[in-house]
Amino acid sequence: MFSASETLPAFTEDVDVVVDADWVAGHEDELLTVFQTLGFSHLPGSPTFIGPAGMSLDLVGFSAVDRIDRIGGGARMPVMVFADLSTLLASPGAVVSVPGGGLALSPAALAAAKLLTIRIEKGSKDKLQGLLLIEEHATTPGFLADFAGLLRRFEPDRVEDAVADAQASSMSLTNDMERLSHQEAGYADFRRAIERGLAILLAQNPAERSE
Amino acid sequence: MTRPVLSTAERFRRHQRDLVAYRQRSLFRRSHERFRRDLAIVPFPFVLAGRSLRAPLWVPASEVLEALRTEAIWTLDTAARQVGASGISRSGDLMAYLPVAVLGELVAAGQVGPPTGEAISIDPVAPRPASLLIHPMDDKTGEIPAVRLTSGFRVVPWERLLRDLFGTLGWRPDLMNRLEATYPAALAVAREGFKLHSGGDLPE
Repeated sequence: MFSASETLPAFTEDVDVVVDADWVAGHEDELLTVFQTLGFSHLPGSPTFIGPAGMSLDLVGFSAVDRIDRIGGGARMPVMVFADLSTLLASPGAVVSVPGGGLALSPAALAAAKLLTIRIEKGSKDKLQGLLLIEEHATTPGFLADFAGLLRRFEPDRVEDAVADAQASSMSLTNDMERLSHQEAGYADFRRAIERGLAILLAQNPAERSE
Repeated sequence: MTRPVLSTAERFRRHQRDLVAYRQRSLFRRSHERFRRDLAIVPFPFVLAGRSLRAPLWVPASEVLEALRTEAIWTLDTAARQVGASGISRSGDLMAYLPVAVLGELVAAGQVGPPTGEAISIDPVAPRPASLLIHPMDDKTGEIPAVRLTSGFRVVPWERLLRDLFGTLGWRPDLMNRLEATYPAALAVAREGFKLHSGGDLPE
C-alpha cells in the first residue's frame, strides 16, 4: 500500500495498492471475485475499483522480473507496471510489515518514490510530499541510510533531476503562498517543514552518491 | 463534476507523454554548466507572502540607504550594487533584511510610505514607485549572515545571495552567472579590512 501505515485517514477517497502485475495476470478471476465480495465494482479496462462508499482503489503494478514501464496485469484488469517501483521494491529496506499482517512501503521507500515520480500535472505535489516525509522521519533510526541506499539504485541523472525538482517544488509552494491572503498564511509552518526537508535532502548529497 | 476514470491504456499514454516532456526539461537543465553545482542550494524566499513588506520610497534611495547604514543587511540587487557588482533589477527598489521596528521608524520619519504586504515582487509587472522591500529580521528568519563593507554597509555573502536569488526568482542560471562573474570578487575588495598590498590586491 502506498502508505507508511495500514490505517486509512478519514475522508480518504483514493487508495493505491501496489501489486505484482505478473501475479495479477494469473489471478484475474480470483481478484475480481474477491473485490466483488467486498462490494467493489470494477471499471473495465482500468485497474480501478469503486467501493460501496465511493472510495476509489487503484492497483499500481511492479514486476519482480523486469524493470521497465509497461502495461501488465490481465486482459480485463490491465495494470500499469512502473520500472522505478520495481527497482525500489527489489531493494532492502523498501517494505515493512504492518501490525495487521500486511505489507507497506517503508517511509524511506515512499519518500524515494515520491521524489522520483514523473508526472507533469501533479509533480510538485509528489515532491512536496517526499520532502515532508524526509523532514518527518529524518531522526528515525536508519531512515536516512535506507533512503540514501534506495536512491543509489538509480542512475545519477534521475537523482539529479529529482533533487532539482524538489528545489523547484519548494519554490512552487512559495509562489502559491504569494497568492494567499494574510489570513491563510498559516501555511508558513508547512513551508518551513518543506524547507527543512529540502535542507536534509541536500545535506545527504544524493546526486553525488548515486551510482 | 467527477472526472471519468482513465483506462490503463490512457494512463500509460499519459505517462509516456510525461516522460518525453520530462526528458526535455532535464536536457534544458543540463544545457547549463552550473546545473550540478546549484543542486546544493536551499532556496530562501526573500519575497514571501505574510512576511515580506514593501514601502514606497518618499525620499531619494540614497537617503534611505544612509538611514539604514547600521541596521539593514542588503541583499539581491541592492547588495550587488553596494559592492560594485552588476545589478539584476531596473526597478530602483532597495532590498534588505531589516527589523520591522526599524521600518516603522522610517515611516514615522517620512522617508518611506506605509508598508504593504500585498502583491510584492522584485520584478514588478505594473509600474509602481521605487520601494523598500524588506524581509523581517527576527527569530523566524534565523541569523542572516552578513559581510561589513568599508563603506559601513552590510551585505549578504555570496552563498546567501545565491539562496535569496534562487528562492525569489527561481533557478536563473543567467543571473547567477552574471552575478558570479562580479559579486564574489567585488565583495572581496569592498569588504571591511581589505588592504592593498604591493604584490597585488589581497583580502586581509
